[in-house]
Amino acid sequence: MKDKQIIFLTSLPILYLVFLTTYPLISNAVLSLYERTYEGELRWIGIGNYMWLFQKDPYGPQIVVNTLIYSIATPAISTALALPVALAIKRLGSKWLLPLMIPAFIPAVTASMAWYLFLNPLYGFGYYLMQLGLIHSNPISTIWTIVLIDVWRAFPTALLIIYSGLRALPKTVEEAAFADGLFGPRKFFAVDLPLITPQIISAFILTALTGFFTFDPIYIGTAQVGPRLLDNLAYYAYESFTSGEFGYSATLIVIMTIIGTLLSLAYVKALSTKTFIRLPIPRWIPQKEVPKAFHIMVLVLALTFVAVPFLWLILVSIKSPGEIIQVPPTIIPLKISLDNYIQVFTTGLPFLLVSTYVSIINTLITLLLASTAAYHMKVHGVGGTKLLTYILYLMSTPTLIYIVPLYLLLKVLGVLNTLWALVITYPIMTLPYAIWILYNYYSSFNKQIDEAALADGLNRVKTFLKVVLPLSKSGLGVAGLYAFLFSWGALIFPLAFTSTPYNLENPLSLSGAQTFSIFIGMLMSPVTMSYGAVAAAGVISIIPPLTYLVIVRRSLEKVWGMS
Amino acid sequence: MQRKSVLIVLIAVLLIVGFMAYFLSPKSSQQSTTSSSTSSQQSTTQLSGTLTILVPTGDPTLMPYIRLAADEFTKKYPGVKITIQPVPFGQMVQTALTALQNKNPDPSLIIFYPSQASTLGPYLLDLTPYYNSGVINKSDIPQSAMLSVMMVSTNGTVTKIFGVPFQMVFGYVLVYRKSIFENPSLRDEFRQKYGFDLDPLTWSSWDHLITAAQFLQTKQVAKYALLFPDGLQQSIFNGFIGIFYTYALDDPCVAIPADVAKGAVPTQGYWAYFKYTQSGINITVGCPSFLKALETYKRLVQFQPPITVQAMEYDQLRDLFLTGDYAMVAAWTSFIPIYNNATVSKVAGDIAIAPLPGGKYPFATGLAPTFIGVNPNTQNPDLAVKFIAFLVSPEMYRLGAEKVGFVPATISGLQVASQVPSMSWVRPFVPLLRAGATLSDIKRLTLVNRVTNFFTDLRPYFINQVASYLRGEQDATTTQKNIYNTWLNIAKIS
Repeated sequence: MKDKQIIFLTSLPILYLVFLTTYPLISNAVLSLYERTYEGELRWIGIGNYMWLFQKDPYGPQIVVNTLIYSIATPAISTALALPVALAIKRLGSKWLLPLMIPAFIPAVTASMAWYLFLNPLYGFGYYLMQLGLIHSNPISTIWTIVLIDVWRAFPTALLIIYSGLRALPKTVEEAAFADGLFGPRKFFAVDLPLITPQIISAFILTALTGFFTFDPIYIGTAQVGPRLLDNLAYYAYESFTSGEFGYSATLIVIMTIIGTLLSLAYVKALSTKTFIRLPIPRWIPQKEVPKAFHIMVLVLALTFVAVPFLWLILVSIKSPGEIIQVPPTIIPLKISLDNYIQVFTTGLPFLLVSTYVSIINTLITLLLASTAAYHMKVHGVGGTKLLTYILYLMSTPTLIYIVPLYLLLKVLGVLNTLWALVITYPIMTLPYAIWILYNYYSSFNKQIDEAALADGLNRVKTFLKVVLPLSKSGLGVAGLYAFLFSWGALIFPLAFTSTPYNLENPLSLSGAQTFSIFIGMLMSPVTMSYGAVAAAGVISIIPPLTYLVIVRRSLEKVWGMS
Repeated sequence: MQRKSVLIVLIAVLLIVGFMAYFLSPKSSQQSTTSSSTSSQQSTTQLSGTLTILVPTGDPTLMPYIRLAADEFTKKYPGVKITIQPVPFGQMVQTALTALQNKNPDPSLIIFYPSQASTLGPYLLDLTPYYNSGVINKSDIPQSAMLSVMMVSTNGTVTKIFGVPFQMVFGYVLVYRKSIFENPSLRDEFRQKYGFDLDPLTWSSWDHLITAAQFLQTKQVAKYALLFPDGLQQSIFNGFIGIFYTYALDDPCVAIPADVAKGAVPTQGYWAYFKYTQSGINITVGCPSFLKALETYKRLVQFQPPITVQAMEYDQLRDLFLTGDYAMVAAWTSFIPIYNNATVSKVAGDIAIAPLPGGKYPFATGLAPTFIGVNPNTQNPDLAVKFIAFLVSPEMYRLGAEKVGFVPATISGLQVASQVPSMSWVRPFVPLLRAGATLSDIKRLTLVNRVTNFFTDLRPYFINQVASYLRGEQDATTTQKNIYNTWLNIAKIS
C-alpha cells in the first residue's frame, strides 16, 4: 500500500522526464550517421560525420580543444578566485555574500552583452584601456574573453559552495588547530583546505558545466574574432543546426553528451566520496593572522569585478543614441535619457508579460513535481543511484538536443505558439536541477516527521502535502529560484516553439508566446543592434531574478551549505 | 489493486506507443498536404484565406514594405487575413527550417537572403509553374538576380525555382560626403595633382579610390578617409568578392562568361570561385586575380582603425559613418535611410552614392536580392503566390518607394522607384540591372549552389585566412595557397 502511494507520487515527474529526454538522445545518435544532400534529403554515411570532424574539418580539433579550455579554465579560475574571497567573507561577515552572488542570477545573454559593451574598443571602457596602453588589440578578440565572462558568471557559484564549506567547519576543529599553535594561512593550508576539499571539487565540477555549455559570449564575440575560432561543441552544434546540417549537428551533440556524461559521473563520484587533500605546506607560509585590511582589499576587488560590467550596462542604458556611439565614449552620461527604457517597455511589453507568466507557472509546476520526486528519491530510495545519476546527467545536457522531437509533440497537441507550449516543455530544463537541489535538501530532513505523520493516520499523499511540503520552505525557495532563473532566461525553447508576440488585443486567447529573451535577441541583430535598447532590456531582465534572490537569500546559503 | 497497476502501466505503454507511431508515420504529413490542396482550391476562387509571412528583422525598409503591401492587399481583398511574423536575422533559418521540415502550414511565405537560399531551397515550393504561366512576370526579373534560387541538374537544366527576388540591395556601394567631394578647392587641387577628378562617379579602378582616400587622409578633412568592411562574421567575405570580381574580369584563369562581363553589376554570388574544367570542377582561388585582389583589399582597409582594434562588421559600417568621422564608406544601400536620418546621423542630407570602386566599368558593386518563397504545406499556395505577384507589381513598388524608401528587384520596379525624388540615387543602377537580364551559362553561375558546405565550412576558413593576412600574420601568397589547398580538400560537391 505504502509503496504504491510512493509510486503514484513519483511516477508523473519521472515518466515525464524519462519519456521526453530518452527519445531525443536515441534520435541524435541515429541522425549523426546521416548527411544532407543538395536536394535536402538525408543520406546514410555511417561514421562519416565523426571522421569529418577529426580528419577534415579545418576547425574540428580546435573546437574540441576550445571546449576543453572553457571546461577547465572556467572552473579553475573561478574556484581559485572564490577561495580568498570566501575567506574574506568569513572574516568580514556574510552580508557581503549577496552582492557577490548577483552575476549568477543575471541571464547569460545579458551578462555577455554587459561585458561586450564594457570592453568595446570604440564605445566602451576598452577605448580607455587601449589609450592607456594597457591593451593593444580588441579585448573581445580572444578565447580568454569568453573565459572571463564565464568566470564572472560561475564565480558566485564557486564562492557560495566554498564559503558554505568554510562556515560548516566544526568549532572543535578550529579550537584544536589553535591549541596546536596553527594560525592564519598556515592553519588554512593545514586544516581548513583539506576539510573543504569536497566543496572545492563540487565547485569545480559545477562551474565546469558553465564553461562546457557556454554559448552567449561566443555568439557576441564571434564577429570580432572570426568564425569557428571561439566555438565550442555547443555553439558549433547550434550553428550546424541553424544551417540545416542536422547530421553533423547531431554528431557534435553526441560528443557533447559523452563529455557531459563523464562530467556528471565525476560529479556523482565527488559527492559520494569524501576525499580530503592535504598539500605540503612550504616554510614561508606565515603563521600569524592575515591583517583585516588584506581581506577588505580582496573583497573590494571582488565587488569591483562583479559590479563593473553591470554599472556600465546601466550607464549605457540611460545615454541618448548619439552619445552611445560617440568616440571617445563618455563614462557618465552628459544627459540622462529614458528613451531606451520607453522603447523597451512599449515594444517589449508582450514579450515581458509572457516571460513573467511562463516563469511563474513553470516555477510552481517544477516545485510540485521536483519536491515529490526528490523527497521520495532521498527518503525512500526511489530510483536509487541510477535515477540520481540520470538526473545529474540531464543537468549536463543542453536543451538544444530536444527541440525537434518536442516540436512534433507540441504540433500533435495543437499548442505551438501558445503559452502552453512553453509550460509543457520548460520543466525539462528546470526539473533536473530542482530535483537535485531538493534531493540535497532532504538529505538532512528528519525522517521521523514522516513516520510520525503516518502513525497519526495520514496516508503518504497527505503526509507529503500537509507535513513535508510546509517544512520544506527553504529548499523550495532555492529550487524555485533556479527554476525561475532558467525559465526567465530561456532562449532555445521559445525560439523553436513560438513565432509571434503575445496577442494583447485578445489576451485570453493565450496565442503568441515569444519571450523577453527573444526580444533581446531581436535587438541584438548585427544590423539592427541598438546598444541603448539592448542595455535597457538587459537592466530590465535582471530585476525579476534579483528580486527573487533577495527574498530567498538566507535559504540559499542554508541549502548550499547542506550540499 | 494489482489490476489497477496493470491498467495504469498498460495505458502508459499505449500512450507512449501511440506517440511514437504518430511521429514515425509519414501519414500525418500526407494528410495535411491533401487537406491543404483542397482548401487551397476553395480559397483561390473566393480569394480569401490567411497568410503568415516570416520576415527577418534588421533591414530598415523591408518590414515597413511588407506591412504596407499586406495592408494594401487586404484592402483589395478583404477576405484575406495576413499576419507578419518578425524573426531576428540570426534565427531566421532555424525558425524557417523547423516549420518546413515539420510540414507546418505556417508561415505560408518565407523571406530569405542569398546565403540562406541553399539551405532553405530543398524545402520550399517549386514556383516554376507560376513563372511559366505568367503569374509572376519572369521577363521583368533580371536572371542574374535569380541564380541563388535556381536548382540546376548536372547537365545544366533548371529543375526548380524556389523563390522570387522582390527587394534589391546593392552592395557594397560607395557612400560619400557631398560637402567634402564638392569642395571646389579640394577638387581643383586633386585634379591638378593626380590628373583625374575627385568625383567617384568618374572613377573606374580601385587605384582611383585608394588615391582619393590617401589624398583626403592627408588633407584631414575627416578623421578617417574610408571605412571599408572587414568584419569577421560576414562583411569581409562580401567585401572581398567584389574586389576579386573586378580583377577576374580580365583573368582568363577565372574565365568569367562573356555575357556576364558585358557591363552588368555582378550578382553578389560566389560563383566566380568555381568553374568547370575538362577534368571536372576546379577552384579559381589559385588564379592570379585572387592574389591581386588580396593585395588591393589590404590597401583599402588602411584608412580606418586596424582590424586588430575593431573589425568593421555591419553594425560598425552603419554606426561609425553616422558620427561624421569618415569621408567615405562602402556600405549596403539598405543603410542609406539610416545615414539620412537626422535624429541619429551627423551626415544626414550630406551623402551621395556611387557604385564601387566608381561610377565607370568595371563594377564591384553586386546585387544582393532578398527573396520570398512559399511553404509547400501552406493551406493556400495560390493565394501566397498571388500575394507575391502583388508584392512585385509596379504599383506596389511605386508606393513602397514613396512611403518607405524601398528598392525594388524588378527592372520596371526599379525604373518606377527611380522616378520618386527621394530615390533618385537608384538611377545609375537601372542600366546595370538591365544588363544582367539574360544570361547563358546558368550551369556555371549556379555551380556554387552544389557545394553543399560552401557556407558552413569553406566560408569560415576563407574569412579567418584573409583576416590573418589583414592582421599581418601571413603574406598574400600563403593566404592564397592555404585557402586553395583547404577548399580543394574539404569542398563537398553534390
